[in-house]
Amino acid sequence: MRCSLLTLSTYLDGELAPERAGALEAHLVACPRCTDGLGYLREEQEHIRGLAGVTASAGAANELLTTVGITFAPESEAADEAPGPQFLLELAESRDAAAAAQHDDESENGAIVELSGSAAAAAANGTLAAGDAAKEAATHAGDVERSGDDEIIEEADAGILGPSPPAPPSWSSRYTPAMHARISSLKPAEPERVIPLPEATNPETSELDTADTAAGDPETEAPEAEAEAADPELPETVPEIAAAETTIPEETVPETTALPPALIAPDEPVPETPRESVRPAPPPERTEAPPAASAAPLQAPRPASWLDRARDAVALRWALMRGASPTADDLDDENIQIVSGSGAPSRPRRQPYRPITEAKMPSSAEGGAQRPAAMQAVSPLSPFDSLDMPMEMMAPVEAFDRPVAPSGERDAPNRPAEKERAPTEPVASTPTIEEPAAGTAVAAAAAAAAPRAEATAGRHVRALHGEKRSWKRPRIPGPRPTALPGPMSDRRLWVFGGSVAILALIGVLVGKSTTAPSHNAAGIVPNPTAIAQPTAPALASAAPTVAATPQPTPKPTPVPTPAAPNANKLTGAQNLGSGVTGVSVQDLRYGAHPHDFRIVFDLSGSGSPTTTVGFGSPTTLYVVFTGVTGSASVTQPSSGQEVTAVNLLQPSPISGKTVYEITLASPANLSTIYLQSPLRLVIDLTG
Amino acid sequence: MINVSASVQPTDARELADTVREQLDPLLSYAVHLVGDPDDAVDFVTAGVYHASRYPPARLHTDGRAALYRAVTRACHQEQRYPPRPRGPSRFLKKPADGTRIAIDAVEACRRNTVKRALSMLSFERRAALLLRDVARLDYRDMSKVLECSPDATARMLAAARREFGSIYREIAL
Repeated sequence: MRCSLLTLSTYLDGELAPERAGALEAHLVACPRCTDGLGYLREEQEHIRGLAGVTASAGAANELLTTVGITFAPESEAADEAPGPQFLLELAESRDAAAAAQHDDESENGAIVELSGSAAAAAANGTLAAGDAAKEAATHAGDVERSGDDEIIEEADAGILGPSPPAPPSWSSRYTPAMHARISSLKPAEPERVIPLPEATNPETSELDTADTAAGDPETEAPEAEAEAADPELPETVPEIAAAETTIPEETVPETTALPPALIAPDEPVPETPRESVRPAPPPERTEAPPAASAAPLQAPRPASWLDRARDAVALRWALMRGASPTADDLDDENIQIVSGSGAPSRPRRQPYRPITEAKMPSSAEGGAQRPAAMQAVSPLSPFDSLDMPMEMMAPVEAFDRPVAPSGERDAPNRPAEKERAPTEPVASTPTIEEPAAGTAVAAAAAAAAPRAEATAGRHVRALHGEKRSWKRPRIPGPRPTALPGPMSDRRLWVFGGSVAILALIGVLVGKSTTAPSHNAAGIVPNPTAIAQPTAPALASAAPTVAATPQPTPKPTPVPTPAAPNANKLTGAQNLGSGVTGVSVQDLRYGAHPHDFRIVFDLSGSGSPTTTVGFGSPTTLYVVFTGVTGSASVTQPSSGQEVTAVNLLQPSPISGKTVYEITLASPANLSTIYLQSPLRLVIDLTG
Repeated sequence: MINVSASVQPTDARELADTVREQLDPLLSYAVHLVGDPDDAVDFVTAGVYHASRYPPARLHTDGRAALYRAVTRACHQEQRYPPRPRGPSRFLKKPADGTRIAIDAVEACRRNTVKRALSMLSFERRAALLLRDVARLDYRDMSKVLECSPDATARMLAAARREFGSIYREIAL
């Protein structure tokens, strides 16, 4: 076998094939090189395995799982969802005690059986057969004795289907008040279902009181359930229960499917039926007002928003347009003001229904002559011209000739507020027209407003019709502004764009002001005040992240300038290095060896910077780096060693150089060497 | 091919959660020694668990552990965090998400020593191979799944990593 590190490594991990492992073990006996190599591998493996582990907090795993969205139902939920098994278990446990306190009269006369829990609810709702419900509940119980389960199921089925004389005492007879209290405490939120049993039971149906029958065939049970509502011999309570619980509509009940009454017991399970046939029975018709309206708590009136007001205004306009058709006589101030009141858009209507024909609008001669001059000046066309309403909604011309109801009867609630606005509304719209140009609609309106100007039939209409766009955008004398085509001409778009731009600018400014979270190991934000301390080592050891924070300028304190070691006067000086720059001191390490004491400067980078090492005094060693950034936070030697202190001289006594002063406990001889990968300066002190 | 893998099914979620609970400390130790920073390690482990829940292995019972380590290794290598950090100009408009950060005790694990210095000089793959074997105690089969290579390649990579680590360690150790 050849010496192979791969084989040794695989053998160390126990992944080597047995035959090869045997061969390697034989080889190791004769090969000291591989034996040493395996020893080294074992040693390094132990080193790595000796790395400290990380311990997460107690709830860290759950927190992490929640963070990444891994959710699942706990195992205990399934048991908690069905209190039925507990109930059945309690039944089994208290069987003897309950048997002693039988209430025979209740079992004979038809006891009131109250079922609680999901199984009973499912059985009552018809979504789950009673027998299946009891079985399912018993299955969830877990470690229940099988015999007891079966017995309980049979008893439950018997109780649901009704008591029968030959059967053992039904579980309804063993149902004690204590059990009732326990059941009620299981699910207090669920309403209890009181199911009266029929008073007279048919002995002939006792053979049907089995779980199989209770589970039932879906094909045969539907008619059974339907017959339940159709059987006239049932007690009065039974049809009600059938209607409420099984919810079989009457129209689906076939008359020919008459079954024994025992099959239509109230707790009889109903197989899955189509949704249409299981529709809940309609509630009885009420001849009086529903009490819910009066019993409901009064809601505080919600303050009307502008949207509500606008909606009301539109509804009012719509009602006015549809309810009463204005005539020429109705074109008074009030009508005009009503329709242009609160909520009415102040802008002219939109384009699709802009075309107005004279045939659809009353002529200015008919309406304009009766309107005040001020109103004519504002709206010479028609009172409805100020509406933001489609022309299709407006009343036809014929409607203007019809008599109209007195306005007081039609819109009395709105009249006062509209009367208040009456004198101001028309004037309010006038500022939109400035400097009317000659020949425009506004000019025509102004001309019509003059007292001496007699209105000519159709003149205003024609003028406005020809210049209808002037309402939307009044022309201004002079050079026309460069109109942007299409939707760009909408001023709202520009307002919206400007708002978005402002918000984006604010967002950028706010976002820039936030700083990214620091990711230092301890999660500690450095205290700027601590940085502000004017101690030189603290400033020198400030982390780069700290430098990003605004630092107050420390007051210059008188720092004694250390004695400048003259490199030429150092005793035993040794020069080494090739002049590489950009290197920084990372740390210092010390080690006591049998024959020497070693000081190691851990440097970053590669190459060897120019360095002079020599003694300023017999116990003071100076290390002068050129082109090396020093670090004041280097590891200090422990007490009792050859080196007692290491200091970075700040400020540097020799400009452009980094000087470390190493204090020795006793005079020593010096030996220096540079080692690469990683770069480090090794100083051995002997003697 | 379009990856249409669904998230972990509810039936598998329990098993994956159990695996995460069981392997959380080794995962965190592995990630801390792999990347060197405990906060980054927590982010990467969370991202790895999220990725494993999104793309669970077909046999979660047998491959769940390897899938977790693989996802965490990928997250460490590609610096995938959970929740992901916003990138681009939109990060200026967003408030930094307060990611749920689990509390870990990593003081000792973050202490620098010669072993960690030597480890930090290895390449990512070799460092991962060493840590997977000696810290996570994975066998070659699981390591090959984590490192996405064959078991033979895993053995070679591990041997090479040990050789390089040994040379560096012996050199820098006093």
